[in-house]
Amino acid sequence: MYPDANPPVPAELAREIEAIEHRHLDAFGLERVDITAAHDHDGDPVILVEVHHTGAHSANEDDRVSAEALAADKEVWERATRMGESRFVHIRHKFPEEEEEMA
Amino acid sequence: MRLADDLVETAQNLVSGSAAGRPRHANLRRAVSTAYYAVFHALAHHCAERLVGTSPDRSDAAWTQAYRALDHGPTKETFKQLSNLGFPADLQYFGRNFQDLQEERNRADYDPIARFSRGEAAILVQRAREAIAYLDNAPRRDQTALAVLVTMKERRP
Repeated sequence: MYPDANPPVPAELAREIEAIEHRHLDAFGLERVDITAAHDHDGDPVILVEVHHTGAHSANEDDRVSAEALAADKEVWERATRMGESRFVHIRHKFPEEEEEMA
Repeated sequence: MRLADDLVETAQNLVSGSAAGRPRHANLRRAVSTAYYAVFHALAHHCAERLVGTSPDRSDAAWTQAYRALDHGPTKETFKQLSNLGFPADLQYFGRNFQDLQEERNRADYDPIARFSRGEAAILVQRAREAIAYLDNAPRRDQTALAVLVTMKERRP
C-alpha cells in the first residue's frame, strides 16, 4: 500500500486517537499522546502511537490503568479500521522509569 | 497447564519483581519477550488442537508438526488481512495484539537502547493475557479457520 513512502498520519485520525486515549486515561494521569508515521522491525509502515503517562496513579490502581489502556487501544484499532487506515497502529504506553533493583 | 499459560505467569512474575524492590531492567525485557511468546504458543497450541485433534489416540508427531508450523513473520503478514477476511471482531483483536506484542518483543530482544518501565511491561503482559482469552473463547469453527489460515499457504489459480 505504501511501497516507497510512509505518508503522514491523517489529521482526523490523529485527533480521534488522541481523544480516545484521553477519554480513557485522563483520570489516571495522561501527559500527552504522540502520533507519528513510522516503520516496524520489518520495515513495514505503521502508525506509532506513544501514550505518555505521568505515573501519578496510586499502586492499587495498576490493574485499572492496564484495563483502561487496553480498552482505549482496542477502540483506537477499531476506529482506524473504520476510517480506512491500512497501516497497523502500534501503541506504546510509556511511564516514567523507576529505579531498578540492584543485585 | 499449557506452555502459553505458564509463560504468562512467568512474565507476570518478572514484572512483579521481588519483595525487596523493583524489577531489574533485564527482567522487564524478558517479561515483554515472554508475553509475546505466550501468545505465540497459545496460537500454536490451538493450531495443533484444531488441525490434529485432542483425542488420546492422536499422533503426537502430527500434533507437534502442526504446532511447529507457525512462523513469526508470515503470521504477522496474515494477521494484517484478518479484517478483510470476515473473521469475527474478537479474533481481529487477537491478531492486532499479536502484531503489537511481536513488535515489542523485537525491541526487547534486539534493541540495545530500548527501555521498558514496569508500567509498560505490566500492560504488555495484560495484553498477552487478554489476547489469549479472546483466542480461547472464539467459536471452534473460527479457531479452525484461523489455524488453517496461519499454517497453510493458499494456492491461487
